[in-house]
Parts: sequence; structure tokens; C-alpha cells
Amino acid sequence: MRELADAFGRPRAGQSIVFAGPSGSGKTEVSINLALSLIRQTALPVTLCDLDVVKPYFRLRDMLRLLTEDEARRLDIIEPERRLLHADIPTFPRNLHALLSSRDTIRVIDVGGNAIGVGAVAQFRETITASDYRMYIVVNTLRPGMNHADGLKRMLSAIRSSGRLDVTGLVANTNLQAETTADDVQRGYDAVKALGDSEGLPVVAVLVSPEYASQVVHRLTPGAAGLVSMIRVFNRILDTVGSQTEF
Amino acid sequence: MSDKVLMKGAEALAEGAIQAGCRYYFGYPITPQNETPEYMSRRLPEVGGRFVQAESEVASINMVYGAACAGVRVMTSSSSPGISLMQEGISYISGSNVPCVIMNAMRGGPGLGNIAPAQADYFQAVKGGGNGDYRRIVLAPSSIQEGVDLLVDAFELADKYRMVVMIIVDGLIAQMMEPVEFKTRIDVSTLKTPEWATVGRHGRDHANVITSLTLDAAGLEQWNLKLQAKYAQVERTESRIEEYQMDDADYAIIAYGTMARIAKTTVRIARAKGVKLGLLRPITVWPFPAKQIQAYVGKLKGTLTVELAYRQLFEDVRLALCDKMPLGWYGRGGGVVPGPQEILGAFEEQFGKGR
Repeated sequence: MRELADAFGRPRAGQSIVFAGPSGSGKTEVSINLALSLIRQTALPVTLCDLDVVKPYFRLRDMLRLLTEDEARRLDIIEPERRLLHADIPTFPRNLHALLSSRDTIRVIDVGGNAIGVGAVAQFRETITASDYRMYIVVNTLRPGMNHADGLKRMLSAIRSSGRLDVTGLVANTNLQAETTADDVQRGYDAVKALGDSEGLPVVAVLVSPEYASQVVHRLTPGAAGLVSMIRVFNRILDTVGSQTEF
Repeated sequence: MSDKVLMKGAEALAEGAIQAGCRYYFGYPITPQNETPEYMSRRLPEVGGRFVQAESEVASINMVYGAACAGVRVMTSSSSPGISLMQEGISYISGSNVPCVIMNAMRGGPGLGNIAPAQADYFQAVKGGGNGDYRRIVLAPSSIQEGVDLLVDAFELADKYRMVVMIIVDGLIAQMMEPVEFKTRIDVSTLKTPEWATVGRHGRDHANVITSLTLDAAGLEQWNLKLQAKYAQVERTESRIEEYQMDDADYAIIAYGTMARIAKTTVRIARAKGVKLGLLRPITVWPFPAKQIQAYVGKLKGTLTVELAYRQLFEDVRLALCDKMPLGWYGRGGGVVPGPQEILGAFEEQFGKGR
């Protein structure tokens, strides 16, 4: 199984890796997992940017307390200022242009869902473009409207025109949480591969989680199996409750 | 491949309503349920329905009133402060004896509060809100799948009793994602326009008139007695509860929605420690399943009511059980959600080790 940092070409200092895609496809999960993979694989500073202005719960900022102390120390987290963390208003962190321009760090950027989420980030387009960026679209074909080629194409085209950033590749993250079967993952990969083939984009990773990986991975075709990376799951209801949970 | 999809609660409840035959939705955005109107705005036109984003919640509920008078399956949704704005309309709809479904994704209050999950609109949902002697059926799912399944019942119950049916969830159920399956699909062409609907005379010798206004006192009292008879029938026949690990239970947690789901984990932890704890989970909070809970008098040594609110559900538990057993309570407010261990801690504090 591949280390996630390898799936994304072992990013270098000064690069920005942007995750966009339809809502609920797993952008936040893959962002946090890539950042964790990078701190395992490199000594370079890694910055994790929460630029999600769309969803009110289950954002990167809500998951950070699930990091170990060591992980939290190694990651530089960029999020909206504290007093606005849970405000229902679309705010970006301060000094974002400067942070996005740094040549010293690898940046992993989690943007909000759909065209709206990436559209909000388009205001930083020039800074992101200057930073040797890669943008990946995360897709879960078991989300509503994503189970047919037309829906996938419409989604990709909307995100491209709204974000005005070039798409580097696709990430297949088809899952039904713990109920995911090998068939689900395979069909998800096949659909994302077909989308990539028609749009000239590679599928760079197939994501699985420990909840179902052992029943799934050995049953995939070689094309899909060769791209598999394991991700740690952060977004689960029982992980998000506890007396300290103040959303 | 399974027939399941991975959906946010707020999206799944929208699709669930459409599968239940809802073709009209009027609403106004508010977090944490914006995915419901967003989803409806995309899907309803695909199935020949109508979506209108109203200029306010007051307008939304009055549009719902209008569609309800036309005898179609209609829904709105909102979150706490938005539902507060709808109370006048809910009273009018109830007073006019017409059906509709309303979803409340409860958030922290009072006032503007915050966007975090809460159950503090319990009183508003089950006891009042609007003026006058009216009731509405209130369903409280504790998973996305259950919410989708209950929506079919919600529209059926609304039509059967010509009542407002409210689905209450908290922000967590609205925002989390789970695999969900749509098992029932109502063919809207089989839904008949009711006799009473205000859709033209169609050859009848009189026009239907729907109003909540009755000027003479005796007439309005008769109207009220008719409503009361209906509510009494609903109380007799429609209350529902889930009884979890209750066969040999010495104690029970009483909780609904998200809190019940977390309390199930508490029950499992307690049982592993040898404490015979069970869970009584009201699925309808109005009518409150008092009889089902009263059946445990003499069998239980006590109950712990747990809620994301301050002694609201507890009030109905107390009305049901009075002083028939020790009644404990634990709750958090303002959007803080207690975990299973915290609930167990509250249980042990109030009932000792439970042995």
C-alpha cells in the first residue's frame, strides 16, 4: 500500500497541494492524512490550511483535537482566527497571501465543497498559481448525483470554471464508511478512471480506511490496487462527541 | 453494489421527503440545515415539484399553509430561530386542520445562540410555540436512516390526521453523513386530492373554505372539541418507543435523537461492567410514550433522563412517572455534546455503581 505523500508525488518545499471536489467527498480527510504522511516522510515544515467556508460542522478545525501531541506540534495549522472559528460566516485566515507565498513550507489546502467552495478560494488564484501548485479533485461516487458519468462531468466542469485553477488529477474515495465493499471501491475507481480518461486527467490515488480495507484491497483489479493508500478516519460521530466538544 | 448512498442528514431528509411524495417545499436558509433547501432546489424541479426560497420563515410557513390547503404533500425545514418565526403559521395550519411536515434541525439557543447541535426546542416542539389549543405529532429520529424512514410515516400521519407533523433532529444528525437507503417510494399519481382541498368547486354546489377563524364562541368551542378528539385518538394509537436492553434492566436511560444514540454506547459500557442498564428511546415525543415507560414501574430502580437541554424531556418523564421511582437527570446545553463516559459518570454519581 502506498504512502499518501508518494501518491501525490512527494511534494517539495514551496508547493501547494489543493484539494477540491463535491461536498462530502472526503477533501478534509485526505488533506489531514496527506499532511500527516508528509511529516512522516520529510523533515520540511508542513502547513495545513483550512479554507473551508462552506460546511458548518466536521471541518478541519473540528478534527485537530484528534491529532496526537506530536502530530499537532509538527503541523503548522492555518485556520480562521479563534473568535470566528465557529461563526457562521465565510472567513479566511489573516495574512493568507503571505502564508501561501512562503517558499519554505509544503502547504496542504482544504477548500470547501462544490464550485462554491473552490470559487471562494479563486480570489487567491494568483498567489496559488505562483506557488507551484497541484490541485486534485476528490470524488466519492456513492454521494448523491456522483453515480453517473454526466454528474461527474458536470461537477468537474463547474469546479474548473469556478476555481479557475488547473486540475492535476483525481482521487477516488468511494466509500460507504464501514459498510464499504470491494465492489463499491472498484466501481468507484472505474467511474473516476473513465472521467479521467475522457478529461485527460490521471487518477492518482484510491483511498481506503481501516474500517473495511482488509475485506476490500485484495479483491481489487491491479489498476485500482496499485493506487491504494490507507487513510485514518477523523470524521466519525462518536469521535466528535465528548465533554470538550464545543463545535 | 448496494443501493445505499452516503448522505448528509440534511440531504437525506430532503430526498426522503421527495420519496414520500412531497412535491412542494418552501424555505429560507439557516445553518445547520441549509443542505435541505439546497437539495430541494435541485431535485424538486427534476420530479415535477416546486421549490421556492421565500423571503423569510414567516413567508415560508404561509406558503406551506397555502399548499397544504390545496391538499398536496408540502414541507418546510429550518433551525431553531427560524422555527420560532414560523409559530404563528403553525398555529394557523393547526387551527385550519390541514396537513404539512416541518423539519427542525435544532441548534444552540436561546435567541440567535449558535450553530452547534442542541435539543433545547423540545418544549417548543411538543408543548406549544404558537397560540391556542393545538398539538402536532413530533417524531425524533436518532439516525439518518431512521429519519428517512420516519418521513414516509410523517407524510402519511399528516394526511391521515390532517395535522402538522414535525421531525426534530439536532445539528449533528443534519450534518453528519451515513449510508442510507430509500426503501419506500410513494407514487404521487396515486395520491388523491382530498375532498376538503381548496382547488375549485369541480361541479360541487359549494366552494371549500379553509380558515382558522370562527367568530362565535360556541362554534369555536365545537371546533376545538373536534380537534381535541383527534388529538386524543393520536395519543391512544401513535406513540412509539424503542426499548434497548430492557429485558433484565434495573435502570434505564431515557433519551431521544442523538443523545439516545450516544446513550446506547453508555449502556454497552455499563453492561460490560455488570450494571443492568437499558435505554428507553421515545421515537414520538408527542404523543409521548408515557404508557410504555409506565410499564416499567415496579421493575426499575430508577431512570436517568439525558438530553441536550435543561430539563425539558425530563418534564414529560416526570409527568409519566411522578414519584414512582427515583428520577435522575443529566444534560448539557449550548451545543456541548456529552460523550458516553460522561453520561456513565452522571449515572454513577446519581445512582451509585448501579448494583
